[in-house]
Amino acid sequence: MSINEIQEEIIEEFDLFDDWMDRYEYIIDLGKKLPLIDTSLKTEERLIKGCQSLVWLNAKQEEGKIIFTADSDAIITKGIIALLVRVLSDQKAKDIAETELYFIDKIGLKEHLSPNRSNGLVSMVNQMKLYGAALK
Amino acid sequence: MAFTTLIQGDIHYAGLWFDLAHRHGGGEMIETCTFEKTTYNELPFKFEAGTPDIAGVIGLGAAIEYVQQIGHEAIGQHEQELLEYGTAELKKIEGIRLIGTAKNKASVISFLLDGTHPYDVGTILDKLGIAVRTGHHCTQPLMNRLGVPGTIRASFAFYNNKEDIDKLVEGVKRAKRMLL
Repeated sequence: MSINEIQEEIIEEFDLFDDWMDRYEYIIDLGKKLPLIDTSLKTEERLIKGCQSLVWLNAKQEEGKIIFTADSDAIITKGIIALLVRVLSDQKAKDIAETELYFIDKIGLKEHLSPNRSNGLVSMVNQMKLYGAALK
Repeated sequence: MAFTTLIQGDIHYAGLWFDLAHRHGGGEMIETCTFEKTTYNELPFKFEAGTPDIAGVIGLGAAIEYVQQIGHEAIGQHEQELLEYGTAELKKIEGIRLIGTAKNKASVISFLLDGTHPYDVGTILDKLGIAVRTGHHCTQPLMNRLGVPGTIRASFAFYNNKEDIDKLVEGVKRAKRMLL
């Protein structure tokens, strides 16, 4: 699936929820699932620091595509990371670098990606795109 | 060596200062102005270009008057009551850990909810319209020493009441149900 097809799919999924409670419960469930990253990869150089929560991001190349794995110490951040990984992982570097991520805004989670919230997510998205730009 | 460094530092500082002084123009920061030469007013006026913050000054005056009318003693007493009530109510929630319990502390409660991250609790409280601060509170060395990733902090002021605290307590309970 292309990046935009996955974004559309997520937007449709979130349309099913009536209010923020349900949306957040879904994100929390995503966050509670098994670790998204191998514990051995939770190292200092893979750490993206935020004032509020920590994010670990790992990227590897496989058959012309980039595979991302990531994790966070906060569950809501981790749930959003799960969505970002779903959208951007296993895609071509060029597509990752050039994509416009609009689903976060559409599903009502924009505030988590505001530069005012230093939760590591903004840096994570930038870092993912940088990997795309560097590896294309 | 030190002397040279000092001089260089001063030159650099003077340059920066010049830059600062002329970054914004207009209003009382000008002394004289001709086609040949412009001179600037003395300190502090040269840094105060444009219209002064008149509304802000009047607003501050009104705020000071308001606080004086209520009185510092009454405010202190009210805040102390809120602190005691809030502490007692939050303690009733299982898994609450208060960080900072000094005697005579100000009317703030910094806490953690076992098994949750402060950011997650703060996000849910925010969605419920309850404003708290989460994170390191600009004291990372202290947070490291305490071995915590940050805290959730509620601050009470004289315009808060017990009902606000009840809402906070309900919000924390709801966050606990959602997160654990």
